[in-house]
Amino acid sequence: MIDEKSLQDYFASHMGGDVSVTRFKRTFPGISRETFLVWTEENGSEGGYIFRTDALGGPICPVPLEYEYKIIKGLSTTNVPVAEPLWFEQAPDITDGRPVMVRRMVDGSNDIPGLYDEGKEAAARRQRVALEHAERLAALHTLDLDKTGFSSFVELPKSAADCARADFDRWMKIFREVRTDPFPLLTEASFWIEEHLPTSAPRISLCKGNNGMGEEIWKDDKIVALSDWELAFAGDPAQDWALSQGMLTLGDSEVTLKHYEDCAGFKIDRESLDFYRVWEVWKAVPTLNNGLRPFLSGENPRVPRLNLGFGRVKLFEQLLAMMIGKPIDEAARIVAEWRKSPYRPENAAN
Amino acid sequence: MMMPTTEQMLAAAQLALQEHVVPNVEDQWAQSALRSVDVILNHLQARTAAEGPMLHEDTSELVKILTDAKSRLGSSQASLTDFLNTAPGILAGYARVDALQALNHKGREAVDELLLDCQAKKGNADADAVHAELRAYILRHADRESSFFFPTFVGRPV
Repeated sequence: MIDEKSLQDYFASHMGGDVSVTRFKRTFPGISRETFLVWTEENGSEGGYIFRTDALGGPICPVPLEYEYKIIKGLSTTNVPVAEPLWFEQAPDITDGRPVMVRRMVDGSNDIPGLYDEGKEAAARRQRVALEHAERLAALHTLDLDKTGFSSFVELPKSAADCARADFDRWMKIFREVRTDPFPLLTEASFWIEEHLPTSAPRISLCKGNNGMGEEIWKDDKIVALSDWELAFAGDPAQDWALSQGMLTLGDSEVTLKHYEDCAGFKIDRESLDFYRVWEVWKAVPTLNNGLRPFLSGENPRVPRLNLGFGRVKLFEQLLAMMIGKPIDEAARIVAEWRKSPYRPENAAN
Repeated sequence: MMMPTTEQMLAAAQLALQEHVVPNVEDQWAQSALRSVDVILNHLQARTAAEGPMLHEDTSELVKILTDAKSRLGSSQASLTDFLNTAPGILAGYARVDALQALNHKGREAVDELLLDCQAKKGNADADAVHAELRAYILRHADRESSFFFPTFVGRPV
């Protein structure tokens, strides 16, 4: 049980006796892993930390927390804004053996109040926010993977042309390892998807995985930290845009992509973008279904696991059934309709 | 009718939460939990009465398709043989839903293995014919259970 006393003991053991925990709060949402904001007093001044651990029974995404920590650690010396990584522990007592990483808290929020207001000013603001996000993605996607050390631990495609194939093969293996149901429709869909794998990419980039609204820390409409790196991978930058959670519908998508291309110095292939929109639906099934395993075993019998690991998974399976065999651009349009940001008020209700 | 149906009872529980609990809850996690419970109650209302007959119909169809596939491909796949040996006994009597779920799972596992087999033998007339049958089946299966999940799970995920 994580409470003020246990956090006090934990932070004191890492930082010395002069630190005292004054308050803490679990962030919302956060189902795959548990994240706590922890405020401290240290020699008369206030400190702030982000304490992150796996949920009971393991995360939803089938990726170890240490991988996410190493990604953030690697980024902390680059021009990509992240919360400063402080330490990682594989099995501390405070979590009964669940891994923990601690970062320094960044002043900001994952919410941008008023972003979806009516009127021209709000629309112009949304476009500015989308351009800000595009600039940060461009900075990420142009990192040199060798110089930054990522190539030493991130699985790399053999070449830029191999990006889609490498991601396909990696997730096909994960699917076979984690699935809780036979999912023959997923297998059939994989045959269709495999026929359409892009055979080119502008470069091999470090990609964030989940990105966009709800995933980053904002202050004054600027990104102060790109957060949540558990699905980071090396691949085609177009794939990140396929998972940009509402960013391409925030303003004019072509204006946003053009700005990104100017910053990055390369083009995003729109056909590849369409492909990855479809591929991300397929990938969502093993990613989320992995979260059902602790539910079925009884380790984490909580409703969000049921909704994400079962209900959402079956919904994505239904979506694949609607698309399978169609031309990719047509399938991508179906996905785009489904992927409207849940943060927009009109889409937020159940 | 004196006995309320399961759907009516689930709907009553849902109404109680919507009328008396949801308006009084402000904590984000509590609101999220209530949204999740509401979705699950919607799902159960759609699934409870229909699941048994759906699984019976779906699994009966699987027996025909998989018997034909076994014969055409000469498959000795263990999961297929196991399913075809078990299915008639369960489908003949009044089966519990959990028994039908397990049987259907077993049948779809056999379908999955056969799909991979057919894909590996692409171009072979028998394999292609079986593949087409299996593809048509899995789309019918998705359609049969569609109302359990769509539009129930559309919307905010947590």
